Amino acid sequence: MPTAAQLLQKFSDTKTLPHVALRLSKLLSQEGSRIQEFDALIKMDPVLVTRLLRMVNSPYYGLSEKITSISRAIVFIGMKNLRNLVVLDGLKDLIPEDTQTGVFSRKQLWLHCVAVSICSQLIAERVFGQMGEDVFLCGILHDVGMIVEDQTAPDLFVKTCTALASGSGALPLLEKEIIGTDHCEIGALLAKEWKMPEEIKEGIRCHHTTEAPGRPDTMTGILQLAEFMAGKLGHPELKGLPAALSASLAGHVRENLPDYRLLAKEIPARMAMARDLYEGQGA
Amino acid sequence: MEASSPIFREFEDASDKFRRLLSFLQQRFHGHRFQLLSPEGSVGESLCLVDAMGRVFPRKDLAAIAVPVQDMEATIVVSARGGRKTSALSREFRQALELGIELFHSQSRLRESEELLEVQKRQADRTARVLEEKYMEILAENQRHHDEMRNQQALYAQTLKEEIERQTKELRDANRDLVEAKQSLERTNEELEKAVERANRMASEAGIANAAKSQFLAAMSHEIRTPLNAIIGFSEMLLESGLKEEQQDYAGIVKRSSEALLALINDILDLSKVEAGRMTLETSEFNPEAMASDICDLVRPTAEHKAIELLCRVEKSVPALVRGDPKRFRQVLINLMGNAAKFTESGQIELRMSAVQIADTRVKLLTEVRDTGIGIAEDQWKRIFEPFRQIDGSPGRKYEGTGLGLSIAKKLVELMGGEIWVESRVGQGSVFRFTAWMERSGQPLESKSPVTESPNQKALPATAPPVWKTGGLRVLLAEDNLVNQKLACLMLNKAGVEVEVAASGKEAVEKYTGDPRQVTLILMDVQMPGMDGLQATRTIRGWEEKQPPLGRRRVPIIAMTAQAVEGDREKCIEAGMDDYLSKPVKKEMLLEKIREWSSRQGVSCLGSEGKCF
Repeated sequence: MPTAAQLLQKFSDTKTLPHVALRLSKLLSQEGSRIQEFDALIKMDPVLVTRLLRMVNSPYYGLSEKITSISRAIVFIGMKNLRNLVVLDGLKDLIPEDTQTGVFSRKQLWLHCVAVSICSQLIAERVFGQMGEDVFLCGILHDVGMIVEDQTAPDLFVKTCTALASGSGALPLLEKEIIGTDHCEIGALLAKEWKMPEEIKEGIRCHHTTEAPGRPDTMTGILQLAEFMAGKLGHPELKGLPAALSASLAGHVRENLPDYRLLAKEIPARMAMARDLYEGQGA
Repeated sequence: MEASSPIFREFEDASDKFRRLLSFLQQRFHGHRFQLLSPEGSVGESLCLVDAMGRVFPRKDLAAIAVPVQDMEATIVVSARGGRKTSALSREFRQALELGIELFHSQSRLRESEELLEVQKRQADRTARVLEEKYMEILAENQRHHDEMRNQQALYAQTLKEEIERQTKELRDANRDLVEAKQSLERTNEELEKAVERANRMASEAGIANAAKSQFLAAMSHEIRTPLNAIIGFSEMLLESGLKEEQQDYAGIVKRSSEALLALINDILDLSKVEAGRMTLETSEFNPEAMASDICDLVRPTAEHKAIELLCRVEKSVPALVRGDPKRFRQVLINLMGNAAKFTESGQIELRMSAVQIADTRVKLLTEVRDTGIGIAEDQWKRIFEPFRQIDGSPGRKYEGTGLGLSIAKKLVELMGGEIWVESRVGQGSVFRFTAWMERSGQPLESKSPVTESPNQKALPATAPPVWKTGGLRVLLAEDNLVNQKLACLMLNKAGVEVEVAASGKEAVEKYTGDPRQVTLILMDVQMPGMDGLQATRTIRGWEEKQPPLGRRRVPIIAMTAQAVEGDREKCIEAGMDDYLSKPVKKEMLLEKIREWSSRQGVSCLGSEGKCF
C-alpha cells in the first residue's frame, strides 16, 4: 500500500499549483514584501489580473470608482484575499474534466471546496469576529488530498467511495483501510510542500478528526462547522455523505442557532457570486 | 421563519416552544387546564389518553376537548375551568382559543424577528470589527509600503548623490591628469626644441664633416681615376699593338679589370652623393623613345652574343619630348637593361615604356624591363635594392658586379618622384618596373647645348668602328700629367689627329693665343697646378673677345676631368667650355667628341660632303 508521501510524489511529478500561486504564498509569509513585488507577480498571469479587477469592482466591495490598477486592487481586497483568489484558481486547474464514477464527482468536490471556503470565512467573520481569509484558504485546500487520490490511485479511490456509499464506516478509516492513507494526511503534506502557513496545514490534517476538534473558533473547529453547513446546503464532499458534527460543535451551534440560521440564508448568494467570478465552473 | 432554514432543525428545542404556548394559554385562559401533544412528546397536564396509533382521546371526566394547533404539528387538549361540561367549552371559547394561538404565533414571529435583527446587528458588529481590523491592517500595510518607498527614494537620492560626487571626482581627477599631461607635454616640447637645436647644431657639424667627406671623395676619385685612366688607355693601346695571343689575353684581363674597378668607383661615388643628399637632378629636354632604342642598341651586342631576342616598345602615350634629367634616367635604364642582359642566358629581354599618368605639366612614365633570366626569389624582391646586394652572395658567384647598381637606381628613381620594384619567379625571369615623373615639354626637339644633346642624334651604335679620315686637324691638349699626355697623344695620333701638348694652363693659353689658327679645338684638363683649366678657358675666351670682329672665332674647348662631382660640368660651361669628357677618357668617346666639334667647325672634317660621316 502506498504512503501519503508516495502518492503525493506521484502527483507532484505532474501537477502543482501555478508558479504565481506558490510565489504569492511565499511572499505573504515573508516580512517586508513589497506591493510592487505582488504587482509584478500578478502581471505575469493575465487571467488572474482580469479576475482580480472583476472581483474588486464587483458589487460586493461596492466601490464608488472603478479600479484599474493592480496595486490599488490589492490594497482594496488585501493580500490574503489575493492569495486565496490565486490558490482557488490554481486548485481548479488541478482538477481534470469531470467523470462520473459512482458517488464521486470531481465537480461535486470542487463545489464542495468552494462552499466550505465561503462558509468558513463567514463563520469566522460573522460568528467569531475573526478575519476569515486564512480559513477561506484552508477551506479551498482541505480536500486536496482527495484530488491526489483520485489521480494517483483511481481504482482504490473508487473502491473507497463505493464502500463509503454502502455505509461501511467513516471516510478516513475506509481510506486507510483501502488506500493505505487518507486525504487529510495527503492534503497536509501537500500544504507543507506548497509552503502554506502551518495552521492551514494543521486545519487540513484535522478536518475529519471528530474526537478532539478543540474550541469551535479554531481553524479546525471553523472548518468542521463549515463542512457541516456545506453538506447541509447541498454541497457534500461525496454524494449522499451525511453531514455530521461532533457533540461539542453541535452544542456550540445550538447555543448560537440564530447566528447560523442567518449565515445559512446568506450562503446561496455567496455561492452565486463565486459562480459569477468563475463563470461556468462555479457553484 | 425557522421553517425557511430547516438545516438546523435538529438543533431546535421544539418542546420549549410548546411550553411557551402552554404558558401563554394558561395566562390568557385563566382557570382552564391545557395539555399540548406533539410528535416530540407532551407538555402540561394529563388531560387525554393516546393510543398506540397516536390517536388522542380527551378525558371525558374532565370534559376535555382536543383542538389541532394551526401551523404546528400539535394538538391542544383543553379542560374548562372547574371541570365544567364540554358544552361549557362553547364555540366562543374555541374561537377565543384559536385567536389566542394566532396571537401567540404573531408574538413568536415578532420575537423571532427581534431576535433575528439582534443577530444581524451582532454579526454586522462583528463584521464591522473584522473590517476595521482589515482596514487597520491595510493602513499599516500602506504605511509600510509608503515608508519603504520613501526609504527607497532616500536610498536612491543618496546613491544618486554619491554617484554624482564620484563622477565629479573622476572628472576632476581626469582634469588634473590632463593639466599634468599638458605640463608634461610642454616640458617634452621644450626638451624637443632643445633636441632640435642640438640636432641642428650636430647637423651643421655633420654638414661640415660631410663636405669634407665629399671633398675627400672627389679627391680620391681624381687620384684613383688618373692612374686608372692610364691603365685602361694603355691596355687598349697594348691590345692594338700586335701582341702574341697569350699577351693579348693578359692585356685584355688588365683592361676589363680596370674597367670594372672604374665602374665600382663611379658607383660608390654616385651612391655616396645620393646618400649625402647631394645628388640633384638637372632639367633638360630629351626624347624618351630615342633613349629607349639607344639603350637597346647598347645591350644588343651582348644579347646577340647570347642569342637573346631584344624587344623595345614605346607606347604612343609617351610624349616625344619631356623635360627631366636624361643622364640619370638613362643611368637607371642602363642598369636594368644591363642586369637583364647579364642574368639572362636565353629567351628574350623586353623594354617597354608607357605614360601612366598625365597631369597638366607633368607626365609619369612607367618603364618595364622584362627578362627570361635566372629570376629572384620573393624574399629577395626588396633586399636587392639595398646596397651591396646581389642575390647570389657566395664568394664564387657567377655574376660580376658591384651590387650597387640597383640601390643607386632606386635612389635615382626616388629622386625622380617614382618607385622601383620587381616581380619575379626563380628560373622563369624577372620584371623590373620603375616610374618617374617628367615635365611635359611643348618645345620641338632641338639640341640647344652639347651637354644636353639628344640621344637620337648620337644614335650611332657605340660599337660602330670609326670611319676616321682626318687631315689638318690639330688638337691642343692641356694636360699636366705625363702619363695622360702620352695616352691622349697615342690615341689621337693613331686616329690621325695632330696633337700639340701644353703641360699647364698657362702654356695652353700661350700656345693658343700665339697661333690660334693652328688649333682646331682644345682638350683642357680641369685640374692643373698653377692656372687650372677653368681659368685658362676664361683667359682664352677673354682674349678671343678682344680680337677684331673680322678674324674673331671661338675655339671649341672640351673639358677633361676626373672630378665627377656634381656641379663640375656647370663650372666648365660657365668658364666658357663647350663640352665635357669624364676621365678616364675612353678612346671612342674622345674621338666622338673631336669628330663632332671639328665638324661643327667645318674646318677639319674630310667627309665626302664636307662632313665627317
